[in-house]
Amino acid sequence: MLKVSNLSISYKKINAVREISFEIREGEIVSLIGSNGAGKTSTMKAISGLIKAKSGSILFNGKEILGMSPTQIVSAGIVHVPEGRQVFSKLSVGENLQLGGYLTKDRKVLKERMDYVFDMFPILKERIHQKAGSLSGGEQQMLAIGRGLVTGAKLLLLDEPSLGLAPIVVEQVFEVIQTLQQNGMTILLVEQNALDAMAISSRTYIMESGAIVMEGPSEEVAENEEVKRIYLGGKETWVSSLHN
Amino acid sequence: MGFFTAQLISAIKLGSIYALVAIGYSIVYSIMGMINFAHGELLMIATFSLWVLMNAGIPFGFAVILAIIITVLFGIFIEKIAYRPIRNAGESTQIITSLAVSIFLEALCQAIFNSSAKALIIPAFFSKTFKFLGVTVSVIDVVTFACTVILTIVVVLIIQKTSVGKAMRAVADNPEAADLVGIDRNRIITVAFIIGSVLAAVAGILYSGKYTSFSNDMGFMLGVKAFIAAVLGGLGSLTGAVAGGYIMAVLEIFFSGYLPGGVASFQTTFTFIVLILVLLVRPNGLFGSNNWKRS
Repeated sequence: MLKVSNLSISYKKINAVREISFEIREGEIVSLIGSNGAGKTSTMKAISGLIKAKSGSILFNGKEILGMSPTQIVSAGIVHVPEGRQVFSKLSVGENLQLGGYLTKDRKVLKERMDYVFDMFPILKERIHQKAGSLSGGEQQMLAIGRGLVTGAKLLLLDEPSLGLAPIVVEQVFEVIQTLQQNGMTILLVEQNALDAMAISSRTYIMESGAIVMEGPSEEVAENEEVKRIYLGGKETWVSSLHN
Repeated sequence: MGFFTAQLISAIKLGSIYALVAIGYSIVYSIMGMINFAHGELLMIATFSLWVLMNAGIPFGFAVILAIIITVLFGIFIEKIAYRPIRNAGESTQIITSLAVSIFLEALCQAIFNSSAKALIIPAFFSKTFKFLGVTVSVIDVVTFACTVILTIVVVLIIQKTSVGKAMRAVADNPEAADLVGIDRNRIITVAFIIGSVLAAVAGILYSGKYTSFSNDMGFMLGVKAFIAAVLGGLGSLTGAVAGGYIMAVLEIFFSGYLPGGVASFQTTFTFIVLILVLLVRPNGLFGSNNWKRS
């Protein structure tokens, strides 16, 4: 569905991302993990058109999207749910969701998508008239994902969805991601929470200093001694404990 | 009592002009994070366009509409050629560029039409007067106030209710997130300039229509005062821009009317002193939130 080849991104003179290649197949969750500054967010921003890449290619369903504007990329069916939620805090929950449908002219389709989001996140329906900025962190994350879904995207780029959330809420977010996949969504997941990300994804890429240093099926990557040492620190989290 | 009422009515007339212009500053600021100091020049463009069109024999009503359209085209054009290339260049570059555009337009106008004062003759109907609460009021004063009320309501409805208005608020709230839902920011910025230009054109025509005499520097002082009104109300707030415009005019007119003869001509100085005091207490203006500042 998405094929990234030899993608390089640089800021001024610094190469943030160097010649990376990876692939996401329809219906799968792929996790992209790595330490801070490894280039994960830059990679996502290049896919969604927020920043320009230096070279490489990004094919979405066989079509080159590198160089397209963010608007064109959203129309093509990719939505980026950014780190730190980034909801429109002074607008109401309902308006935030409507703006997800900014490019959707068909009102009936828009209504269906809104209903789908309200089904998945009933709390958003309860808070529809509330300002988005007044929601809790977890609710804002649900709203950011919901707003992404209203765009009608086929590929969801989730940047650190669990960052800064309470453990119980993190659990809910990971459940939501799995539900979305079951409903047919394809997801690229960038996470600090490496173990949880690997537990729900089929394949994992590990990024270090702008390059992909390891890739493979998530359970294999998770078993790698080096990965365990660096990212997991031997800790168990809720998902891994379920798997034991 | 009669004097007070007369002063108040004068303040409402002047405040309406300030409010219309201040809204333009405020909208462009919230969408782009930039202060467009060339905004005042749009009043000049509208007035000169109207004057040229009327001299060419085009009927008043039609000429007004054309003048507004020409002003809007200028507004769009200024943003495209002068501001778009420096969109990400930092605040000081943007401020200097907009000042340069302002000076350029004023000088261009002088080069074409010279700097002498011109007379704008509007249909006699508008200068008809009648008594209101014992004060003589002319039709154009009523039209000025009515235009301000109607246009303000229209702008508020656009921003609150329409899809493009929601997108404008989204861009003002979080530009990057707006990109991510597919809002074309260039288009929204163009809409902001169109709205600002319409209001400035109407204000320019009403102002010149009232005072009948105008010249190429008419936009500068009006623009600066309206900008200060927008800051006083809280840049980025529509309510603030309108309130700021009227407060500004009330201060100016009342200082001029009630200060002793020797210092009354310093009304603008006194007005600015009050504004500085207000901003010392409320740095974000009367209606500004404290989170408007962009990174």
